[in-house]
Amino acid sequence: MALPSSTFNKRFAMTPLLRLAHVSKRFAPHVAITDRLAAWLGAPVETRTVYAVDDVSLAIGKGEVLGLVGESGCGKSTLARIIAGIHAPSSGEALYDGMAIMSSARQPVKTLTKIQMIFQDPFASLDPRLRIGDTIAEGPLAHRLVTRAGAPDYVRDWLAAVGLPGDAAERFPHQFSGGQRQRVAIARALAMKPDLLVCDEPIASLDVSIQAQIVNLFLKLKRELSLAMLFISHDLGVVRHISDRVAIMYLGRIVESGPTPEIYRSPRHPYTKALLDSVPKLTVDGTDVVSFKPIEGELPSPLNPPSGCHFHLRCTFAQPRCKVDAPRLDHASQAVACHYPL
Amino acid sequence: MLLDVEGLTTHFDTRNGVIKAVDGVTFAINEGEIVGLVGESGSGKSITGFSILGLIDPPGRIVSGSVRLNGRELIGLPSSELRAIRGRHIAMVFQDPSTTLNPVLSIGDQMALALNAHGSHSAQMAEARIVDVLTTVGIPDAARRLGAYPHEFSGGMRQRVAIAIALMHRPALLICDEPTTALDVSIQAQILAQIKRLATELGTAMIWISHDLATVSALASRLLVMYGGRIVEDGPVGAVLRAPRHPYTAGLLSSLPANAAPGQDLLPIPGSPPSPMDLPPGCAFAPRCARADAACAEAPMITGTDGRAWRCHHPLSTSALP
Repeated sequence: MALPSSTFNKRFAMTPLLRLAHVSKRFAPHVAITDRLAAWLGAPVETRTVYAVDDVSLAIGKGEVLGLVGESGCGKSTLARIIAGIHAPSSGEALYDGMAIMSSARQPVKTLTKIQMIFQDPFASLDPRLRIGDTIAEGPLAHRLVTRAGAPDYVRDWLAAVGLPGDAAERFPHQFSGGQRQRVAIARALAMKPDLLVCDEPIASLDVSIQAQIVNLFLKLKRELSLAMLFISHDLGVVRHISDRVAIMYLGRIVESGPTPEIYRSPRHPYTKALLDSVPKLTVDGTDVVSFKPIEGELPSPLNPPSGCHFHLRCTFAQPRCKVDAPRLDHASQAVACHYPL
Repeated sequence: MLLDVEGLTTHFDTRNGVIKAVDGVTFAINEGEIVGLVGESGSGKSITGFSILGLIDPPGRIVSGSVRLNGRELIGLPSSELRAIRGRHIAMVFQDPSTTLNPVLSIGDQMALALNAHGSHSAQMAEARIVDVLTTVGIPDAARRLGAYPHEFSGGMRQRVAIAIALMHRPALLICDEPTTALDVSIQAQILAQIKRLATELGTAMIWISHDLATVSALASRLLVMYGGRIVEDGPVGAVLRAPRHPYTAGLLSSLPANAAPGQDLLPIPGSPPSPMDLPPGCAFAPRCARADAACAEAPMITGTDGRAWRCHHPLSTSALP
């Protein structure tokens, strides 16, 4: 039987590796029993619920790198933690290969070993009292990916894959520089043989001259292991370099997503454009050129986001409709959530 | 010449040995000039800033060198005289605005303290001056926010307050130690634009310490590159970034993603920065440098005729050399 040949069907015929459908995450502060009693009796009690992630849908295909960009408080780390199975979504579905990442009992299901996370600060993410080799072997041993006898060789192989010498296994985290520690954190994640790496600002805490080395390592992993990645960074240059597709988040919502070259060449959402314009570029043609245009206004608090489109207060193109009517992400290949896209 | 730093050397004595954080730094700044001081963590750029202000506490000490402001030597001044200079003639803005402001004093109170540190003002005059300064750094409705505490301000607003405090006495020199690193890009852009406008209007000279070449290129007219406690390259921003002479500067530039096609490997600098506890003799960059040879056991600063200087025997772009 011949398969339908339209590009639409090609894209959606196969299940993506990871699919989020209308995922939201709310954080409600703990309310004291007296306040709850007061509320029950009808007193006005302020409950300040944060919509850290607000109705996010996205998909990552096998071997695909999705860059996730946004300012602090936009919910990108919370989204990463939902995907990694650290947080359960408050509503919506997070599916890995068609299976829920969190079961209803909020227990991460077995597939979780296929999703591994790399954190921002390799000084905090490695156990200071565990030898590197033990840190790397702990997960694979627990999940029987390797026998105890085979563990030392297994560890050495993954150390070599991230460019560290085999004798590093005997040493402790404090004996390594920041860049080397991040390599260890990457080796630890890879030793679980994941299909998807969730990288939360993996190069932000590294020195400039080391960042390029780690970026190259990610490029190599992408090529040789065809790993899918969610790559979170505030460095728009690095995201452009490494990602196949990019999603831009603002106060819990994805405002634009699409293929990397298109987003950078012709952003459709005013926030994406403003974000790209606000990054200082290397200028070599004189000193009076201000190579960036700031976005007006403050980043609103996620505790009290603006009505309608969250960006309307800072948007130069905002119309009355933007104040009341929250735009939804459309279904174009370069999807945008804006009533008046550029 | 506003500021003249010569052979500045700051060491930290620790149990494990001497950390040579700043190792013979020499540069000068003219009035109103904006200089970018670029380097990686541990290169000594922040300690250079602290040393100029005399903000080095034990186990750190300024071993040798001189720092002259308008011809007056600052090193060795008694602390009372240094206090009269700090905040008035030289002010500093630090990286993290949430730790530089006093959390238990209202914005108005701590600004009044800073104002009255150099001459007393009546409460009325002080308030008028404070509101005026806060307004110039872009805090809306400043008069009504004097009673607010730092935690009621966002990170960007706190940094604006810190900048307002620094500019209160219209210092001749402002030292900014990565003041926008902790901020989001959109807020960073606002503050960069504002501080550039203010420095130009007030004629304030600035040392902008940063690890980000792009930020510096948008702001400064001159660039100093630090590595291993020393300045390795010095020159006009445009000229240095167009045709770097020190291999380290060139390496920093070529490792940026903007200089490679998307998806292609970047060109990183091999190895990692040296420990300031154990600097290689001669050129500190030699172990990571493809051009290094026996001559690099010594690394004097070489001054060109085109306003540039570099600490390298084998500089790049030699065609442009004198």
